Amino acid sequence: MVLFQAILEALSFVFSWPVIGFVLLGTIIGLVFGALPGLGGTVAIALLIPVTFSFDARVAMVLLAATLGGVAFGGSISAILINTPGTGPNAATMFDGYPMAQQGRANEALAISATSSALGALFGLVVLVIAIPFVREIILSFTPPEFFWLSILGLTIIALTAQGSFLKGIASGGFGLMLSFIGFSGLFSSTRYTFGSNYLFDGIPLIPAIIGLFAVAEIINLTVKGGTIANNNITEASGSVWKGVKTVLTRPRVFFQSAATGTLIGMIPGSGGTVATFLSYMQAVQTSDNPEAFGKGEPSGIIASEAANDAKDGGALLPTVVFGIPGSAAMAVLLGGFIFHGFSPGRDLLDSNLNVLFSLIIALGLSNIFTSLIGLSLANQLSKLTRVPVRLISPAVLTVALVGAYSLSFIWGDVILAVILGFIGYFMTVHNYSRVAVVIALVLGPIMERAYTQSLQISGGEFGILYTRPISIVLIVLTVLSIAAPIIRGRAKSRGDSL
Amino acid sequence: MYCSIIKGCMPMDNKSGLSGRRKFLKVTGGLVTVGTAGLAGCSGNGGDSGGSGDSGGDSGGSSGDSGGSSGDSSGDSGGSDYPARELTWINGGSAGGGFDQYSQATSRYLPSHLPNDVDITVQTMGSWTQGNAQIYNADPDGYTVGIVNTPGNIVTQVLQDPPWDLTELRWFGRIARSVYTMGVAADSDYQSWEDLRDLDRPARFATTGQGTSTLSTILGATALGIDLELVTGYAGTPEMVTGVLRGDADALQAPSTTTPMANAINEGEVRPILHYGEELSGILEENAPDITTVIEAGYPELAGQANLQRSCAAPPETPDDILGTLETALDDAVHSDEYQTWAADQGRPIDYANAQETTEAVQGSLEFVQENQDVFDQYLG
Repeated sequence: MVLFQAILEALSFVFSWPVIGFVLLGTIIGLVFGALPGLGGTVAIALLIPVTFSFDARVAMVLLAATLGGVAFGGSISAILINTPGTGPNAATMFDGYPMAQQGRANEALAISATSSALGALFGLVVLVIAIPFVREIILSFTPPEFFWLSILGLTIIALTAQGSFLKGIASGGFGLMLSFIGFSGLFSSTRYTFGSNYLFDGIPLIPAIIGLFAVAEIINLTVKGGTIANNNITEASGSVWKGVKTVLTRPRVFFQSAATGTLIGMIPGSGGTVATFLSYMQAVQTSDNPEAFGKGEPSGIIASEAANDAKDGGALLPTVVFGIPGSAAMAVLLGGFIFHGFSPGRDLLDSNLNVLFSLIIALGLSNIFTSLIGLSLANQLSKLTRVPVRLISPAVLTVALVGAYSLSFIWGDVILAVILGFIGYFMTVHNYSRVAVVIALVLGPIMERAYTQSLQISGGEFGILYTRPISIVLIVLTVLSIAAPIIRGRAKSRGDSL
Repeated sequence: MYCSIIKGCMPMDNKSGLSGRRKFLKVTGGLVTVGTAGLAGCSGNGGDSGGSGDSGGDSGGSSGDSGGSSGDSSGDSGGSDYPARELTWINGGSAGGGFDQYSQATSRYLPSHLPNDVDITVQTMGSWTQGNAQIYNADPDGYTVGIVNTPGNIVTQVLQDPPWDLTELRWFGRIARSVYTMGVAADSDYQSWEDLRDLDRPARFATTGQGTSTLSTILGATALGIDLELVTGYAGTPEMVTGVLRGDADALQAPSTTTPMANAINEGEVRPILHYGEELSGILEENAPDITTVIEAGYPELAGQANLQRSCAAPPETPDDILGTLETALDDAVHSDEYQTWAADQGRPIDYANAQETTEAVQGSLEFVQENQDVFDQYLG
């Protein structure tokens, strides 16, 4: 009854004027911050908190939540159109989003992203409300051994994304792992492979690396080739916004498994949105009947990434509101906003301020719907960018990409890194090496290493800790299946061909 | 076998290489040195540490050259017009964390206490290595300053050879000092710190593997005679708390004023079992009024030792007049009603120290860590 009253009260509050206006405002701010590489939700909320100083506390929370809601889809716009993810988690979106743009289907890809984002967010928020009583058990059941196997499972996707040569895929993954081991790991007091460079002390930062490998490399590639992002031979857009919406609705399995993965990973502090989207992408590849299509403009790749990306916010809110332990960097800043406006997470928020919590949840859901509506209505216009001659847009795209790399930490080294990896990425494109494999290894390598070392620190060096826990065993089985499935599938196919 | 509620039962006869060759901190010499000159070197101002005052002179002397050699005004600064334009405030900590919150508050309240009311822009780097380097390499004109994690970054300096030397920075004050508290999972069997000491296996503590949490854990636990083993690599206090709740480690040490620790104590998830301060305040007073302090535990020399300091620095060779302007403004800002109100609302402690006291504290901490480098190497090498 109390729950029902709180929901009703929150609904009437959020839909009142001017609160609904703040939801719209937050949505637009989030969209812009998400679309500009290097900014993202953490920066947007951090900048907004002082602005909300004089606001009514509840209105302020609604504004901050709505901003967060707009970021995820915003980040997919640049990922799809210019191969530059607005935020880290959007990186998996560009694997198939950008190839769709090259095929003249940018509007369809944007529609898929918008629809998946909105539905994913709503899924995550519904789970948030349902899971509050069980969140403690879920969070505490994922320990370092589970993280280790989760990252190993994620790395198996490299075999599937090898795009032709398996050996080249492994080489690419190995290159990514090597990059991920650079710098101070947080496990020991020493640094590795820094070659005396101060810049490498903290390792290779993910976003500048992705910007280099994909955005800069693509600009080089397009400049060499000339023409437009969308294939020169395609004169009319072959995709449509409505087709994109329908694509999501007709692939419920991919959507639900991705949204569930995103929500679950989002709940676990320390895992992060990038891991959620990559694991979800991996899952989509592995459970697809046509895994070879991924990386070449497969709509399910976008659904997997964006559904998980938005669903993870609902998941990450759980430990934030229940324990006061933020599930991600953006949640850490949002938690700062809670406290800034006098709301304590935990019992206070769940008992005394339940209506505030639901206002926030409704604002987050609503902003995702607004974002998607904006995205759907602008998709056709935005997709025209892919038909502008490269010589006209490449300076602007290069500027956006490199400014994005710089604005993360205001370090020139990030720009230099993006340029160097841009040339390496171009070389990889020309010689059919998988850039996706590099990024996957770069994301999962540190998690794998940390989880492995922590597991052995916990067990006192006993390896048994890695394979004696129930969830670990399930993950090991999934890993074996993940490796075996393509082999079995390949043999079955060749047998079928020979018959 | 040992069993915990969350983790279940696990073998305990395996020890990593660390546990078999323990060394202990030079408690008698080292801690007294730090207590008077180093970690608590500026506690006289805060007024909550014992042990100060009886040998502070020796570190004061040594600190005189730490940043003071650059004291003369170079003439290339803004001079009497300072500040004439926007200041950049570097925060090496992560967005949303405690250092970020103090930085945002300072950027809001400091300008009106400067001779000219200019804007302050906070650059949150998410990397102490890069953040401290930004301050260290900036022009000494007073337009790039920032907040530094001491003594945590001093451990980094001694053990990892980063691209900066904190003793060359020019310190213009400290905003806050948060004393550490030892905590365990509330549903664990541990009721007191002695339970950890009396374990028949090493007690595992969750830490980041660097910084103040690691320093305080090694410093405190070894001095208390706890056979210590570190579980490292946690990204910050939120992950350390999660690690303890799910049974990765037996305990953690963190200031009870940090948001995740405060929430965990408030929610009854973490049981605080030992406080490194002399007296309780805030969340501990409300939730754990009977918690043992190190003084009650019989270790008065540890009082105030394990602490996190939020100190403010300008680049090396920043002229004295600019440093004086910054020091006065920070002093006024931190003691202003609006800053105090902000701190009270956020549950954030304020414990101001002036430029000299902060400089002495940094120098003392450096000497302490250098003196005990073999111990830190043993746990983190």
